[in-house]
Amino acid sequence: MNDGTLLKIEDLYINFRTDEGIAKVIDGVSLDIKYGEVLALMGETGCGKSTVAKSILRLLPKNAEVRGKILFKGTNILDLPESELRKIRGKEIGMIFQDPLTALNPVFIVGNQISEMFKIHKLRIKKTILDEVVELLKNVRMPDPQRRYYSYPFELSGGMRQRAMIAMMLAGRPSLLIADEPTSALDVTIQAQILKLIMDLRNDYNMSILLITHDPGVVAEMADRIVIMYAGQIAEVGPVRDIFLNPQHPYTKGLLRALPLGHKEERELENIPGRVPNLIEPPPGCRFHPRCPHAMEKCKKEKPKPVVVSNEHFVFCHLLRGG
Amino acid sequence: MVRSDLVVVEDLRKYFPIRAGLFKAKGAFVHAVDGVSLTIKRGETFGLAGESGCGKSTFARLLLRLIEPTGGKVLFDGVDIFSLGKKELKKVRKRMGIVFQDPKSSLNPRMTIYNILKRPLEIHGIGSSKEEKLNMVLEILEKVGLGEEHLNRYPHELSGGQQQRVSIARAIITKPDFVALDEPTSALDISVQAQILNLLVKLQREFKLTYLFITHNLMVMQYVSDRVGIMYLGKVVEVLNTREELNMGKVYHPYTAFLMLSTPAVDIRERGRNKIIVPGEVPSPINPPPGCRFHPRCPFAKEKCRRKEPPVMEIRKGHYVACHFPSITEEKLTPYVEERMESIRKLWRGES
Repeated sequence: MNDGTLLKIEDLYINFRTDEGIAKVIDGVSLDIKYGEVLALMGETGCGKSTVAKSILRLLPKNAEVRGKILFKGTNILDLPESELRKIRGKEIGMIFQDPLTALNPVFIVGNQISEMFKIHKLRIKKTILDEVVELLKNVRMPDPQRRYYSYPFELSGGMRQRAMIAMMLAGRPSLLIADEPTSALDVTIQAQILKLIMDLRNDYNMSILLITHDPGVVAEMADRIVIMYAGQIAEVGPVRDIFLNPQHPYTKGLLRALPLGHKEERELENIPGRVPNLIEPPPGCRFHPRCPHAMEKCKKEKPKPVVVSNEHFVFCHLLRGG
Repeated sequence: MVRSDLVVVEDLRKYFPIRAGLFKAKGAFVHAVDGVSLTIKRGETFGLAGESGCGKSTFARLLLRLIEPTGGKVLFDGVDIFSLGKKELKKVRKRMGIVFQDPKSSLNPRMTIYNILKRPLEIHGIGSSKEEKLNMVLEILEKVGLGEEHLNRYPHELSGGQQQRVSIARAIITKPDFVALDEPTSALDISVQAQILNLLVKLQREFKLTYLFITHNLMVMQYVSDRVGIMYLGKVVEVLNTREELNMGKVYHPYTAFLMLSTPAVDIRERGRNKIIVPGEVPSPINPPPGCRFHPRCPFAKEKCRRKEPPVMEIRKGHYVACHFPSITEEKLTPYVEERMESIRKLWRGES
């Protein structure tokens, strides 16, 4: 693949077998991430954004059925044998999570956990392994890196733990970083530090980033392009400016107008009535139609196809068809 | 004490002893709330903002006397609540409610919604007959946007937003004057957050409630509050009016300014500008720094800040700042905060 695409997801469908029935969690998602790009996957709880992220590394539980293609540098990850997959997972593609405390092993010092990356992936070492790890800790601006090498995760603050996670991820020099709510558990002053760090590292290490978040503020600061998801379907895709300044999908509009950016004396917040649907029996057609103020007959029957708004800006909505 | 003041807090302190292993008898304390004085006026929403560990939740618990203070006073409608006996305290408690962040853990999973809402009525002896209680429960359910069909449900059968509506109903069913809201929307999605904020504003107007609204989210704070207090390591560093000052970016404590500049706020046109980021992390409240507690992170700190704790100064009517050098913030940070808030206001008004 030489069109500048690093990762391409085509017609992804994911079902989960549960005791209550089959949950149709992802309903035909296609997207791509270019080299060096930050793509944000944004949506509310249960929209499927984390499921998409996990499917890329095949980290989904056993009750998941995945259909479609996930092409990483042209290879379909879903077809790879486990031995080949291991060369990609954690090396070519790194991942960081919301809560580093559960992702780090509590009984080993941070330094050992990071050096393990060098062993697992048989990475080339220029100096001693200690020097390599301390170097990584320096790169993530860990305060006092020599000392922190010997710290246990519980001895670190939330921000430092996230730095340790990022250092571990960097060891493999990945070309794609999947960041799943990387700062949602952190305080705002620490969040600002970590977001800046991730952006600096993207430049230093030449990574693409898939950012999973529910926070439009984080997206506005980080992303080049945004994919808005609702109940397992894509609602809208576009460059960050287009989505924020010229949103087209009723769900995107509703979400942005629900943000408390002024004062209560000025106006009520707009809210999207109703609640997220049950995905065992999802609404047919456009899954947003039961909550949409503009829903038409067609919306209940047909799943909307993408409509081009402008260059790279697509909206999946029948209202826009021919408009 | 002015008639318009509902809650007056004077030099309130709460130190938690650390009981861990070898240091049991060492006399180490977490200085969770360390000398806070402020007043909450009748009918207003007083917002308390700060990062985790700053003591804001401990403060809320002290106001309802859910925990005992180390020192200081809380006057509720003129009555010193820490001097009250059990019976009198119960009477005052009837006039107070509290809502917590996580409705899942604050609602008893084994009780139906009806039983959860009936409990406060029983505790305070409100309503004589079963029928009367049922009617009161139904009435409050309707006020929070739920209905009869939810009466016999259990908390786990409801969505997060609906659970939070039940928590709110429980807090206001005794018709209190004052409700402490501790991060009531932090666990909710944006669209649900909007529903709950609208609901809280509506209930406040209808029942003339006074709110203490605690949050770490400054965007929520600038929407919902009338006045704001900013907390850092057990102390209130700035108190100001929301609409005319906070939302206009007129903040004069460096920590407040950094908090506002750190908050990601969907103002997409701001991108690419050099971001101002406060370095370091919040120090431990076990051994808080001497002098001004913010000095180790403050880029403008001088010798005086390391030695002497800054007094609270009223720099404009009703605007209090605890900083030795507010003019430095005014010169170096306030203009950026003002610009930022102006850009957010444009988004809010729909100008792009």
